[in-house]
Amino acid sequence: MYNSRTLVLLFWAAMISSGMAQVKPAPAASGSGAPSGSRSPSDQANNTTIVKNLVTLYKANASVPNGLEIFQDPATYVEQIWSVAISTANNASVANAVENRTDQQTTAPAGASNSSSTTSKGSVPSLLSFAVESGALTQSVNGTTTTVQANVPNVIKAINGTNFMSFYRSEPTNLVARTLSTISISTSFNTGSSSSSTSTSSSPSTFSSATAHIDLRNDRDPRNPKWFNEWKGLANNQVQAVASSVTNYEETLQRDMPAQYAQWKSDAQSELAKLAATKSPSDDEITTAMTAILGEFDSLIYSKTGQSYAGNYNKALQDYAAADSALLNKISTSFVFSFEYTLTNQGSVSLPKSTTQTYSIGTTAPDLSNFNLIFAGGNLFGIGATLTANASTTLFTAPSTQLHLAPVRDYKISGELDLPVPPIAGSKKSTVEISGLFQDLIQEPLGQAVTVNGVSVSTRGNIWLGQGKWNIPIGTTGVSIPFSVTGSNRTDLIKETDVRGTFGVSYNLDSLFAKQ
Amino acid sequence: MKALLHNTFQVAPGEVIRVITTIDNPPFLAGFTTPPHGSAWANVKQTKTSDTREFTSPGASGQQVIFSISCAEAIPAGAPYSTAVYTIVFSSGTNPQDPPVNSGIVVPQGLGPISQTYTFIVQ
Repeated sequence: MYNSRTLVLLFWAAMISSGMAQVKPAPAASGSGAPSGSRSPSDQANNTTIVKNLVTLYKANASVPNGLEIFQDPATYVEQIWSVAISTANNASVANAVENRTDQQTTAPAGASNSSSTTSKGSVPSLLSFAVESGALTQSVNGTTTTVQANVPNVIKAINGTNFMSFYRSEPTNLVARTLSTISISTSFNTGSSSSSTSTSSSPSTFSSATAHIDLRNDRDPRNPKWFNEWKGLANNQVQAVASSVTNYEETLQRDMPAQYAQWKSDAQSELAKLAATKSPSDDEITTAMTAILGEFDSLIYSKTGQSYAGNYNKALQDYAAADSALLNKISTSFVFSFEYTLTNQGSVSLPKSTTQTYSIGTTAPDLSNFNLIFAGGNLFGIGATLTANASTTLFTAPSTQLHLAPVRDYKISGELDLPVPPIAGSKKSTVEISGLFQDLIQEPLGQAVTVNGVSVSTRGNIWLGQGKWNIPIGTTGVSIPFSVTGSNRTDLIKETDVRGTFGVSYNLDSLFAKQ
Repeated sequence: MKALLHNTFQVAPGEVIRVITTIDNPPFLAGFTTPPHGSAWANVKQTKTSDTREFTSPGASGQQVIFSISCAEAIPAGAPYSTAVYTIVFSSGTNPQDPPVNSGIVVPQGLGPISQTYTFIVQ
């Protein structure tokens, strides 16, 4: 969930504190007493958005008793003016984030799959296709593999929306519903030919693998009873402070500018009464009314008082935004413990020659079963660090006397710790990634490739690999220097430029000089 | 208690008013002006989806109790709804025969908090 909303709240807080959120509403329709003076194009765009939000708010509140009373309350307009200012700031931040991500991607490990395509010719059986179209399944394409995924809530939603609503509402308190909602099943199909160092496959649209996933523990739903006291604290502190500030703000307006306040309120009530007289007002009619009320609010009150009257109100909104964002972040990075089973079909794999084993050409490799425990969590050490760990084993599903296979192909344990690094000398935030892996490859892969650090491994034995990565941001230029160090007992797995013994180091200053 | 226009109510001196606020889907994220101007909250009870509280109106005619309710939302991503619907019921604890007054605030996703001010005038 978190998400764009978290960003919005963070930047809301930032914009309020920086005073950039002083966006004024649009001038009202002619004759409404709008203030004179030119406005920038961005103001006009914001004004349009504010009115659009007010229209959304009007339509949402028209269905509840006395719901439209909020439109004769100044707080409604102040809050929407702020809200739009934050969204505008957020858009700019998203652009920056995309830029950062692009920088990071240039240093991503090679060997990634082909990108997905919306025009993929990969096919799935017709029943699955129908399920994809109805929303019961999601489909993704990665290289030559097409994957369809389903979970219980989506299937219920596709069958009956009403049942889905009651199922969704029961999730926080009903153990069965909560458990079912954490189960997902996916199936992959090969939709074209591919090759690896140890296998060649396959005929088009053949079954490739199936995966079942269940979250044994997942508290990342904000409705989870675990978070009740946290939400209660937010309501009783920061939201309560907003309410107290609203009362103070409106009492101050009534005391210091009673004539203007009374006129605006009276005119707003008249506009709302006219709108209410229309049984089903159109969007245009609501827009006209909201523009008029907002414009008069600006000319009579907001433009004359600005933030001087709303100082505590703004502070309360800022505190709420920060606290809400922190809580959402805490929830979205809480611990998740999952189990995953994957069956890999190797029926169509033609085995290549082996340097260490003998067998008849034409023998197919047994299918593979992979059992994987996944642990993920965040907010560690009080600095927002996140940890992901996997423990897995892969077994051949059938013994093969011809191939002389033991049932276990490998055991594997891996982990990654992401440590956020605060901005240094005006630079942007960055992350240090520390990861490690131990794998006991008991049998040659024989089919599905085993890759470590992007390199295919075919030799049996123990493998260990440790890696640290940091894209060091330089000042405010957006330039970063990728730095990595890798250690492994197998030097062919080290892809660094400078390798000494079992360790390699990479640092690339090209990006620094390229932009200067 | 008698409802007048625009979230204004007429109450008797020393009348106990109960405010029950509920949300259709958790989490409950409504806050109240504390203390309400002109009175104090009493008997506050909170659950995962509701808040119940009371105040007593002043004893002199013409005095007022004013407070605001701010409502926010934390709708999870992928939820089958896009609004948080708060229902607010005002009733008299002193004169239970007076009909309760219903009010509502709907907070669309991303547009909160939404605030509303209520005034109770002693007559």
